[in-house]
Amino acid sequence: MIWLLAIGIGASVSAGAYLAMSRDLLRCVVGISVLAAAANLVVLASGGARPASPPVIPEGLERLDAAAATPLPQALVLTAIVIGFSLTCFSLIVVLALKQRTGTSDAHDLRAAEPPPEDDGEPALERDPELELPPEDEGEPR
Amino acid sequence: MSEQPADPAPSRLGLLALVPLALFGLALWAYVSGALPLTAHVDWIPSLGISFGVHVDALSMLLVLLITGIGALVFVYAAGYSAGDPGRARLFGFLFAFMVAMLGCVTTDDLFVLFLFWEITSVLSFLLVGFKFGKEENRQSAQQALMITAGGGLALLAGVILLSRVAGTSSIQQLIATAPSWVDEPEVSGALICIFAGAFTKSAQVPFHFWLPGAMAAPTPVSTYLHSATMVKLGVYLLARLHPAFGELTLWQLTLVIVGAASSVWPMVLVFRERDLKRILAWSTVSALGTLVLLIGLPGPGAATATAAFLLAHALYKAPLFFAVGNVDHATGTRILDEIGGLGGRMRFTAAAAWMAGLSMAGVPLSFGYVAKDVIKIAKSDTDIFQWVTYASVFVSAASIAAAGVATVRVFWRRNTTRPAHAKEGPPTTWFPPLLLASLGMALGLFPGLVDPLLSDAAHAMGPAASLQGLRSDETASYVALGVTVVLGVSIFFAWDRIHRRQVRLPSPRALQASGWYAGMMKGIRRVASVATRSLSGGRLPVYVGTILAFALLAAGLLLARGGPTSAWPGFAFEADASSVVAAGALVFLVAASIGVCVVRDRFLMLLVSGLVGFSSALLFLALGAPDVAFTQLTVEVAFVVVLAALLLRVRRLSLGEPAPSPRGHRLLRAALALALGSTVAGLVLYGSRFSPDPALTEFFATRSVPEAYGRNVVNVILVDYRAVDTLGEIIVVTLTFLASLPLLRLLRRQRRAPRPPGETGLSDRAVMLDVAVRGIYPVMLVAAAVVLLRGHNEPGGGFIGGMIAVAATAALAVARGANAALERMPFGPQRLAVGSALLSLASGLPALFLGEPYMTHLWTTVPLGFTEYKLSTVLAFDLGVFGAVWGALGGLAARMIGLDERTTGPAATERPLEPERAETDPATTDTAAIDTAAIDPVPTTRPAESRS
Repeated sequence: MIWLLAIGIGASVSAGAYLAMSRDLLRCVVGISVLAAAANLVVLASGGARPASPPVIPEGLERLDAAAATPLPQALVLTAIVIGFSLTCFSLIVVLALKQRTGTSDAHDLRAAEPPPEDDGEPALERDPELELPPEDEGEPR
Repeated sequence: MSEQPADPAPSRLGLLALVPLALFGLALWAYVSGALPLTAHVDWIPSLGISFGVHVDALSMLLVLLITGIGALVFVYAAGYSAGDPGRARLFGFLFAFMVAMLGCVTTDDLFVLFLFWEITSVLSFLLVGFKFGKEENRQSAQQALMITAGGGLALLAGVILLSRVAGTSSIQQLIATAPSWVDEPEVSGALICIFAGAFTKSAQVPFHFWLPGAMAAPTPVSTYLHSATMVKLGVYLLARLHPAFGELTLWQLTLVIVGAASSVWPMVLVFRERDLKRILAWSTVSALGTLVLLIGLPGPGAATATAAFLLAHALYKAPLFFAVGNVDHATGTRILDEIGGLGGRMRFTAAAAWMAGLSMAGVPLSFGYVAKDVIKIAKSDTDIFQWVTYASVFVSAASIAAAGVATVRVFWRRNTTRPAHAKEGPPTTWFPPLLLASLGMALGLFPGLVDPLLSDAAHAMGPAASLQGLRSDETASYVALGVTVVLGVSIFFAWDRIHRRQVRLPSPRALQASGWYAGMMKGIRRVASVATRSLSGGRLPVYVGTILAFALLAAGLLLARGGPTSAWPGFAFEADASSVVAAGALVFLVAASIGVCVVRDRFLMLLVSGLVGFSSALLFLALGAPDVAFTQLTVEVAFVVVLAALLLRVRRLSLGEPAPSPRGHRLLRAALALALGSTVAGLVLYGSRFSPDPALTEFFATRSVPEAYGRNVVNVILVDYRAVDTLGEIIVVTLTFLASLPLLRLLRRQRRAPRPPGETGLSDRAVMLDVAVRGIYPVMLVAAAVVLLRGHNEPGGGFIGGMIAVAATAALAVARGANAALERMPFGPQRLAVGSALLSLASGLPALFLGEPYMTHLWTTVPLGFTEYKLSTVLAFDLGVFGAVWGALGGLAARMIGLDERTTGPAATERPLEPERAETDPATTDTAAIDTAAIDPVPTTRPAESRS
């Protein structure tokens, strides 16, 4: 069973990583959500990968059966799934909004925050006229 | 300062001088009444042994008196100097802050606190040098001063840390007391080199000397106060302060003597290049500081006394000279030597002050400068090992005489045909301070006994010292030496211009200029930063993600490599029981989906396949005995696919555009990195399976759930009870995500009014069958959600799963009947539902507080219901909050995302979807919509992002 899980985790981590490194922002988002799914599997695997009964205490008993699955990782993964969904939706909306503002979803074209260096090798600066210093005053008058 | 017809009244800010004056009086009183040493102790960071310890002995007192006394005069002077200057409040503010920092620096007993104040003085020096920041040149000078002194300050911090580690204390007094036991440790040398770097940069010693003349860009009160009388003496003070601990070390003595001698001689060579009076004085200050450093390094009882005496003498003559130059500048508008002369008749008080200060600087008998130089000479002659020092000092003294002559005789008495006609004396606030200081210098020259006790006491703080009077010599030899020096100095004075012309003609190789090194270093820093930025931060997202993943691979790989051989991994085993078969099936799906999602080019297909990854992991969860997780994942996938399907049409309409495919090499590299990461993580999972999780935790939940939390579904019990605060945080995150996406969604909706390209169909052309089916299913799903919620505590289910079922129902409704229809059916509306539910969860933990229990301890009560009973609890309120938050936030999010596809907004849309839309066939409507969009959209979609790359 652990081997099955490990193979599944390996495959989904690889797929998620491959997509996350894509230039296409949509693929990037999907890649991250696949990575999140893989992470959930890893957390669950940490609880012991064996076929087990659900961690529910049957009526009449006072404690959990030893054959039941470990409950804590399940609780962690459960919330992670819901949060992952909301973040994926949010990322998709951001990609759409980016596309609308800039006209592209190619990560290589999104250079507003970090423009490519200038020809002389100096790091480029986005010139913001509001940030320019006012014209110099004459200093100490003579 | 330009010449003004009528001087404006001195600034009232000059009244600030009363503060240092009061402090001066207080300090003097404390000294005279014999209260020294004053000590106090306030713990600051006890864990690091750092305290605001205060220790004021005579050495500190000497500095305190200089700082407050000259400070008071500087405030008075600045009141007249800066009269009418709009920036005067800033000037006074900085000066006052500087004075406080200086006082902190010289009175503290803790090296870390000293460092703190030390750096504050560097920063204030930066602000004051760049006071007239309108000039590029001044900004450069300020930056240079900061880079060097603050850089040295960092070295000082390193030295202090090293020293306090070796010595086990950062208190200066304890350091001195315990020094013999650790001073021979090898680390001490490293610490000393760092401390030297700090002291030498602050006191402008060779090779860091060049910043001080640059700092003359500051206004005159600043140059007087910071860059001659006090701040630049901090380095000297620190060395003097630590001298008792390290004075016996060869490294200490040798470094101080060599650097001090070089710093006293070299500036007096460079000074001939200058024509600016202030810069000439600055070079002579560097030389004086060099002399002080040299004196500290010299052995013998006279050296310490000479240090203290010269410290005072220098302050008493250099400050008036700076004041005088400031007055000349104010009166004539220039400080260039060739443009001024013969001002004595017009500026009598300034001239008198300069005259007395100049005598003291030249070391003429009857001035306090003479007393100090006399003691210095004796201190130097005490040491026969440094014979050459004596010869060097003759030159330095002679050059000082010449410089003093230039600053006084030339300016005030030598005839000069080009002298400005309008020069006149400024208000009393500008000539009184220099006159007072210079007279004091003369008075102390006549009666050195007045300060003898203070100076001897200060010298005692540095080591064995003699009294001033006991050291004075009246030998003929000393007069002969004085005569030689004076003759030499007068010759240099008359030859000043000739030497200047010769020296500026000399070639000056850049390699010999420390300022050239500095400029090269600054350029180098920029270049390195530029190269590093370009290579590490190229602005390309895939590279960033790749770098992060590569580091993750490295970390995981290291972990795996340390884990031992793969033979320790569990063997491959497969038992054909029911759940293993399910798992194997799920695995096949998972691997296929993983491969598929990477190779599919079409986006729509890719998104659907990515949903398969979720579905197959849900199956895996089921096989592993995690039904709650599996159901959550399933409902999430359902909602996700529905949202995606709706969005995809939107994406197509936006013609998201495939980016140009990456080069093959890049894709191979990505694939290699991804596969390496995947297999490493898989290896880690296998390796980790050898360790079982802490059984105590499982045991805790296994045995406590029923008796303490009255719940049989342990996963739910953990979520709503034991880890309820965690869960609360998570639903708040979900709610915030929804709220954060609302503005973006609104932006997208506005854009959405763009006409649909002809021939494209959207989900709003909805099938009647779908609509009917959803109308029937929606209430059933909501009832199911409620049941799942209510039974969740004892059987699989709970707030999260129930909430997700409701989300799926809302999404389905949004697809079939439009987003607004779906949103309207959510109680209170999505925002209020989400936020209110999160608050309900938050509040459900509060009642426990009234019973004295910790937050989120749930309360239970049993409600009889006829033949049965129901256990009512705050748990239910909490889980209801979870349910509502998930439904409100994610349902709202899903419905609005689906709603992006719709053509129109407003309530009218609710009932429209069943009708086929005609809008796109009507050209008039289309045109109006297009204009509408152009008018509303604040951001043109053709932002020049592409043109940049």
